Amino acid sequence: MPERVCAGCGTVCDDVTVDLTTLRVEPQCPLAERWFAAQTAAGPAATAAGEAVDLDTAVQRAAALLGDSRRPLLRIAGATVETASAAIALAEALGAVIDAGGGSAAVALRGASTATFGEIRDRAQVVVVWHADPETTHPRLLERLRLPAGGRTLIVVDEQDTPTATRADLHLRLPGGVEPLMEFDAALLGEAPNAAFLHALDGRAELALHELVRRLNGARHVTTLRLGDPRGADDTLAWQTGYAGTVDLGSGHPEPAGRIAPDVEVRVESAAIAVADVVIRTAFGGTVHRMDGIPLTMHAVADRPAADSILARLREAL
Amino acid sequence: MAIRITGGAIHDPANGTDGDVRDLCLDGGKVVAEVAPDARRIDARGMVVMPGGVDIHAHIAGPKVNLARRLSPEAREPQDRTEILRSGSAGLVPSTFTTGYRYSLLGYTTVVEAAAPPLAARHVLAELRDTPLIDKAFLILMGNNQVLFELIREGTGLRDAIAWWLEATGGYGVKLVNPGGVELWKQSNGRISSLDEHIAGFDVTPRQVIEAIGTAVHELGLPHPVHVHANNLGVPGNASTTLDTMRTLDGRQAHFAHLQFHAYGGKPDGLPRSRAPELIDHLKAHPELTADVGQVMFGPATTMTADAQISAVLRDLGADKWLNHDTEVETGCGIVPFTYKEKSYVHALQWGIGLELFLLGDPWQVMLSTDHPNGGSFLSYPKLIRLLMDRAFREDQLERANQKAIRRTMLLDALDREYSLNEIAILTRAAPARRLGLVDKGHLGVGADADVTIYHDRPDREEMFATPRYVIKAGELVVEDGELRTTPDGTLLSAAAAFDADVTSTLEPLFGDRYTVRFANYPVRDPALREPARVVQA
Repeated sequence: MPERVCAGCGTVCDDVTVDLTTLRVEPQCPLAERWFAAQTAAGPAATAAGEAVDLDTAVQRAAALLGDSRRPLLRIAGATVETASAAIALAEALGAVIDAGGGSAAVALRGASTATFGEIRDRAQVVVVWHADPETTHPRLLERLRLPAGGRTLIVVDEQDTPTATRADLHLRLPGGVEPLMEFDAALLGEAPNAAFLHALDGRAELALHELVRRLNGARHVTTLRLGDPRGADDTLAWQTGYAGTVDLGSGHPEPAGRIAPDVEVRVESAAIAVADVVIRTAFGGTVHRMDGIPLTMHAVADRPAADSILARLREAL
Repeated sequence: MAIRITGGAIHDPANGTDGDVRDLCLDGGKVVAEVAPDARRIDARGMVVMPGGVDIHAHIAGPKVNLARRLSPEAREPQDRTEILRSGSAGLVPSTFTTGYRYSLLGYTTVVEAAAPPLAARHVLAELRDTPLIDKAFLILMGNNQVLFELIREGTGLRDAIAWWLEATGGYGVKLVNPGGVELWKQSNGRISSLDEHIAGFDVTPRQVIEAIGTAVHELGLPHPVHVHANNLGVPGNASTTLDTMRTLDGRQAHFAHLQFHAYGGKPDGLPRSRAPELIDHLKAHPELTADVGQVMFGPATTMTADAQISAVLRDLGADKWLNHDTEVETGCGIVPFTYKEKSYVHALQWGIGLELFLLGDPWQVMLSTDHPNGGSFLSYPKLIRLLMDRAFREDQLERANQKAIRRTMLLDALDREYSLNEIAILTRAAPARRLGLVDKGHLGVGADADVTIYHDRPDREEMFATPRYVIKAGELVVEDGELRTTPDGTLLSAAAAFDADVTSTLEPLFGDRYTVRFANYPVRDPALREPARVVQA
């Protein structure tokens, strides 16, 4: 069986074999099973208000909803580069807000030190998981980082007994928030010349982490990895508009946007595009960026229309 | 569409034409000898006609450029959507569509992204695909590649590996950045100062890396020679390292990037001084070597480099923002927004050294760049051109800069040179195109690409070069009177050399131990990313 790429989480493993009949996945991963199941599930090409409709009807109905909309919102987190490009073009035509699920106020304020998986796997003698649980959210990440391992230290900071904490060499029950980061004792890193933090922080806590890492980064080399979705959609939004995260295209040019109250929401998901109550099943394929930024090519497993082609049709139908 | 440009003064130094007034005919995307009488006529009387601009060294696309966008959302100017233009944002690091628009409005038709991690080739290609109007190429980073370190130590397979890597990524050339030093930085914030230090963990030295890769690229006969960002960038006294690197490569073709940043005398912990004259003397004695300047322009810049150790130095000088990103096996990346100040001794000296390199150098050998956006935006090229062409303007600017620094250059007494229009056409078009091995670019002879820029001949050279009257790209009129008329895609330029296909059996086990991407998934095969391309064969 050929090795496939899985976009079930931001790890984007590219060594996955899948039996598309039994949906048995190797190496085992519950998110990969779920992901390939959604890609290949049987069912109608499209539905409107829960009723099966043909594709053309669905596209027309979705385009009409968007045409009548005053404040549409497109959610594209986790999408491929090609799908994000089509979605941004659609959002531009609509004057919509588009949310790629990324962006970081902390990075925009002070920057960050980051690294790809291989750098962390092969260099970081100490890895600190800060209030995150990759064993649940990114089930194969520790394996891909070869953790835990003799000669390296896996420290998990969490008040809870998470599946990740049970694998730690050292489990520190510190609370969340800013203070534990400000008070972090560098002695925990020992003599290690190279260390990494895995986290899923945002806001002030993320800023505190990047400040901490900046302070630690004189005597030793310290990096971070933010655990999240595949980030190609957010990267594409950043290069096409100049802004990551959420961008408002309503005034004819991109502006960073906060929370908005949309009247119509478009959700570009891995196996379907939903425009309000119109759902069109799509195939996921194209360029996927791992959460560390490395791009991979993914071939669609389902015989359905590509998400980008549906978005292009919606734009043409406006 | 056929076009006849009539009555313009043609500046085509590659073909020995210096302001001759004659017609220029374009058809089928090429310069042709004659067009039919019904061809569109462009009246260029009183205007200056040059080949389209060619930027041999800029940073416009890929992960590091995109991280810089994330780092500075506050420093952006809106670009509105129009009937033909996509929206975006400008500034030191424009969004992709806007990058293409602004380069084109400046009369540039070809741009080289000078530092791309090959592992991120898909990302680089996707951004370049979204950068319209210009033809574009990228250089792949190879000076800190652990797999290549192994091959260099073993003394085998390097040429085939380099050719494989270009084929796998669509890259155009080979870039070395602080060879060996970035690997040490990623290990433990280590640094390298001599070419003969060992790169810890690998039984090779920077000198062996420079020599082996420089020789391999030379022997492969790639259209562009090895493109070198030498060790010790920015460190006082680094001119010795630069000369040592040049001597290591003597006899082989090589291009030295942003030479200004590598032209300092002094002691590493002391104040820098200029050693530009020595470097120019060395270049003049070695026609196989070329350079671009990396001029700094006073005002805001964004430093972005694979040489991440330098960014940490700027961080420790008090930078608000600092971004570091380590890419496995291949490279690092550092980004720090920065402002060059006239009154600063160091910044004024850097500015002065850049001008010395231009004014002492031969424009066929020393080409124009600001290492965009490291020394300043590409949008400052018109001002830089005025500094070179207009001595009175230059002297006025000299007076504003830190005088202690300026007195330590040759600018005050010895250098009264004013560049001619033909010399400007050399260092912004003819020389970079020739150095890139782009035989159809940088000139206006029959068979050349119909990439043409037409300027009003204004006494204010900054104004003149900032607002071309017409820009023609591949035979299409794309800019008229400072406005874009149409936005064709532009072409990807890739280079290829023959290699032994069996090199993959050497590379695959080396990859398997080091990368977190499967070997089979590394090469970019997607036609949507690789095409349309013009592949220049070695």
